[in-house]
Amino acid sequence: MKKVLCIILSILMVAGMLAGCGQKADTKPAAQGNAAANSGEEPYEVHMLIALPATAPDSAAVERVMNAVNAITLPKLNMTLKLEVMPFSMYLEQVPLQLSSGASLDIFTAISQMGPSWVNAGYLLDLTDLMAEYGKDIPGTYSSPELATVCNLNGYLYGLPVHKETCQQPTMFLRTDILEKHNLDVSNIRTLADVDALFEKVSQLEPDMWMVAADNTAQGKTVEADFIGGSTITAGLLLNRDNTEVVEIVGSEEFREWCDYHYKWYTKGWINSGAASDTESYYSYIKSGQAFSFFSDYGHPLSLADQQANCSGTPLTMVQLDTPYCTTNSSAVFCYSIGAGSKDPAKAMTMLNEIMTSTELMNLLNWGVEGEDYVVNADGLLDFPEGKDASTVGYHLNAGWILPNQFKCTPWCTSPADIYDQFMDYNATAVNSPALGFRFDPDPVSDIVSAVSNVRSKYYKALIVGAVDPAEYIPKYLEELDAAGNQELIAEIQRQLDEWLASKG
Amino acid sequence: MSKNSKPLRLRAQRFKGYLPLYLMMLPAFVYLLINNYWPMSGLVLAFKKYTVQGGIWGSQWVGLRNFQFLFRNNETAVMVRNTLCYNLAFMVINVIVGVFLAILITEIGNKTLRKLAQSSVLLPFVVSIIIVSYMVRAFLDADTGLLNSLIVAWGGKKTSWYDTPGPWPFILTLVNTWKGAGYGCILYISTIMGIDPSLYEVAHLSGASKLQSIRYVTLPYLKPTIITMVLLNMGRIFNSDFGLFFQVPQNSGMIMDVTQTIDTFVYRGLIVQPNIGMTAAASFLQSCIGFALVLAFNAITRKVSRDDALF
Amino acid sequence: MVKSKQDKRFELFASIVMILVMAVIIFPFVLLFVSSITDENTLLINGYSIFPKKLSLDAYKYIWNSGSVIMRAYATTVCITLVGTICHVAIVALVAYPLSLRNLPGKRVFNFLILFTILFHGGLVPTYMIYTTVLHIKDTYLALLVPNLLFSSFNAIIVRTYLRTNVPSELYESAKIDGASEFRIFREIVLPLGKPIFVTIAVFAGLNYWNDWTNGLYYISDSSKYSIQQLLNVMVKNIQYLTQYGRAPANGAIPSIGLRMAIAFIAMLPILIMYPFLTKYFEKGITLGSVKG
Repeated sequence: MKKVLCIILSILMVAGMLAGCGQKADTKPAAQGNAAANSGEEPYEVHMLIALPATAPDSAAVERVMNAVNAITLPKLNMTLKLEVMPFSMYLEQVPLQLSSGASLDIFTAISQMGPSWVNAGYLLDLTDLMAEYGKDIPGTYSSPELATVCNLNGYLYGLPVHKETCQQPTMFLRTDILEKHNLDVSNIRTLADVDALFEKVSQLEPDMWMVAADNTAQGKTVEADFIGGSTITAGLLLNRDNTEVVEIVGSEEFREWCDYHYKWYTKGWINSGAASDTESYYSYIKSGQAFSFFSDYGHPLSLADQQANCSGTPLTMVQLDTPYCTTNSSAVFCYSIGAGSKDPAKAMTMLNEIMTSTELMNLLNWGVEGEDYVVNADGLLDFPEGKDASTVGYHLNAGWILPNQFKCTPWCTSPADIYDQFMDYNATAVNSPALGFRFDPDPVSDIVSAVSNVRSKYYKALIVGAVDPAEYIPKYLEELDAAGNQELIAEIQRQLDEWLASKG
Repeated sequence: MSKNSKPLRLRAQRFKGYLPLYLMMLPAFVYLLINNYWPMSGLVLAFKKYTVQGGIWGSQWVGLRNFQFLFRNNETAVMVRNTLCYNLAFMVINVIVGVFLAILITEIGNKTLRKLAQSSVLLPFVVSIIIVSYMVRAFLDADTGLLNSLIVAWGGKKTSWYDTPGPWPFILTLVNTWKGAGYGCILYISTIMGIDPSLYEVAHLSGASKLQSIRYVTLPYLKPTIITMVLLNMGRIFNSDFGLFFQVPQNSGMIMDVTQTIDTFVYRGLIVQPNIGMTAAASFLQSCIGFALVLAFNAITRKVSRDDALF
Repeated sequence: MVKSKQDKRFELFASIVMILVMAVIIFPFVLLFVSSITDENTLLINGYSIFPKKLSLDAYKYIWNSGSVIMRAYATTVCITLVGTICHVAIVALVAYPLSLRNLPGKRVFNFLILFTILFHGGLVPTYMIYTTVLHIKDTYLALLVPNLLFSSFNAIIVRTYLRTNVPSELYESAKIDGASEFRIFREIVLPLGKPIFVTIAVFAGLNYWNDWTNGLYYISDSSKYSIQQLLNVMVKNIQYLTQYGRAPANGAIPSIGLRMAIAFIAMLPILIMYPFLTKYFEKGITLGSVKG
């Protein structure tokens, strides 16, 4: 036994020494970077990483875009851009690893919700001073200046949100062919009771059809709530209450109503019986003609076109059930951050400022190089060059909603010319959550958060698709939440929120 | 010991004799040093709050705080029970099924059939657990699954399998055996193939039946491999195949009482708050328990049959 | 040898049981393949079936359209698997032989050092740091070859156990008396007599290389260096995220279930093709085993 202990100790010591060497080796270059800031120096290479929920363009195409960007930024800023476009599946693994090892990521897509964890681990820089000095034009690009500072943790500004719709809206999409076939009018549908009445009617006309393709991944979509704790915590604010009291949303009437209706629909066979654990997206069921409708959070100007595309072009009718509302989560799903390993954060911010205010650069990043990847048509909008399409042009991200500032882009010919103004107007109609701009830091109660998250994964999906009886399972769920320390968690969220509200004045 | 009293020259000579053997071992240990021992400094992260600026050694010590989340809830008992029971069941079943199939395969007379059998037992080993989860889904899906189609065809009622906890211990064991038994089986086959055939001849000549020669020749030869497999699995008794317990049940909530293991708990708990320290703490604890068990069982094995001990 | 009636009955029993077992093993693969060529809507409406109402090759067409990327990834994986497997078996064999000897000084310590790596892991973050900031293997082929796969302590222990059980130590002793060096003993006794286990280890290592996508996931971001598993994995995930974020690309229809199945099948295909060759080696193992007596 003694021998074994000796061996373990010596192993740990050797490992420690080796790791010590490794540490030293990688901290050196970071120190050098900040030193020089004079003119006549080497151009600074900004490493920019864009996450993309699609296949990344091949390297030749990215190279082409990079060269075009550099032709602009090198004379103007004495900087070049090293662009990396990474598919989302790899981004989720590689970027946290790169951040944890202090790799130099100057500008990169960050997941806003990861902010607190990443800030606590020191992965992200505070952008407050950097933006004030080198990014003066950035706040002006948002529809309201407070949006620029939405991604902050107790005043630590860790990212600048992407420009898109800032709000979510309880919405429903119904198959137009069925509506027309039976001559149904859906324009007055507002509540779940209206929806229920419609389903009663349609289910008699189309007895084999599922009335709704349930989505088990989202929150209850008609519940207008700000889940300020994060996506696996169900405590938050109910937005129609006009107060800032943090409550358990599972215990609310709105949530109960959603579950009750779904339970009714589920037991009648109007929802697919595997819905609680289905990994197939609900679009597939619309596509295949099995389902009649689905609920959504997206009511923005491009939403109908987007959803129809997702369902392979099945014609849909959009019904907005309620007003749009804006929360920290909805206004900033993704943001752009500067990594702690950045060799020159000031230059990174300067570059970000340039990108967010330049139509030329934004068109390059989103649509590629003019003449090769797109052409400008007679209306001043963009289109593919003669005989090419999205898969043959090489560079066509078409993902403005995950780029720094798509509102600077020239719209594609399939969108209205004033699409970005429409977005701005739509954003202006939203009701703001009183906690807009607040982010909960789970660190002080991380063990409760993990316990509560586990309780949620047990009950939540089954409840929101109606697979289990809410009368029995909601009380059970609440009981287990409390046993996991939910009251303490709610108190902590409330404490942080109150502090934040007070600091806001 | 007597080693120390030998003259220096003799010891040097002795060492020279062994030098080639040490040289042979060099590549493996260099690799272990780089790939395993060097990163092992990360074990201290279990007791630290990791920040990039502090690095592995400079980050702040937080004592046992990272371990708290594993105990601060009523799930602990469930997940420990599940992890232990499934692992023990898997260990026993995989050994029994593996040995059984290995003996059967080597006894098959028809050469083509034997070849076919040999390659098919390893087939499930080829596929990743995610693909296995698609296959399971094809059987169990409530609306499109094969099983429900059969049940309905025979006049039964659809069951939403992914929301029914009852059959899951059986399903998971079945899936694990389907996927994992081939691995051990192939090892046992190669051990059986290495047995000196003259031993069987002797057994045959002395009038032993097939079953008897299996009992007295084959099994004793398999014993060391079986013991090794069991000992190695002991070390991982607190770990679980994340894919098997998370992907195969499709992360379904209603069956979590029988599918939650330590690894799935950690994953679910840290989705919104990825935390290197807490992850490290969980795996450190799993390793320590496994380590203690291996030490204990190794000590017992040394007492009973010295040669079969791992070290 | 004359087979007794009882032995014959036993053989028959073995054959029948194995045929049943094989059916259980192979059926899910058949189901997987059939669903990969089933029309997506048929599958969603009528469910999984061995005899689908409508066939469709959409999934394969979708994969085929990604073109040369697939071929390149196949080539990468084949090369990495070949090189990796050879190195793996060599390193394992070289370390297992000395450890299988009963009288090697320090044997217990070495055995322990190997076992310890099975039990304790430093974790992903420190491993990643060492490989990227010290060894700089990010975005090189070495990243697919080296981390975690080049040597396996588990396999080393298995081979050691095998050599200790199945190679009589008298063979070594007589070779030593004949004046053979350790390397010669390794080449002329250990390698041939250990063949069954080396082939087995090679199969394990080869499959691990073939199926590995984690190394690519952590260390490779250059799409020209993707392995086949990484490429297919990225394809499946991309579709998932596309639908999750509610913004499909303009090119529209993507078969999702069928694609997953087709991808699974494509990833396995070369292994299935290689199977007959592998079994040949297993059989060889048997004959060599009988030669030694």
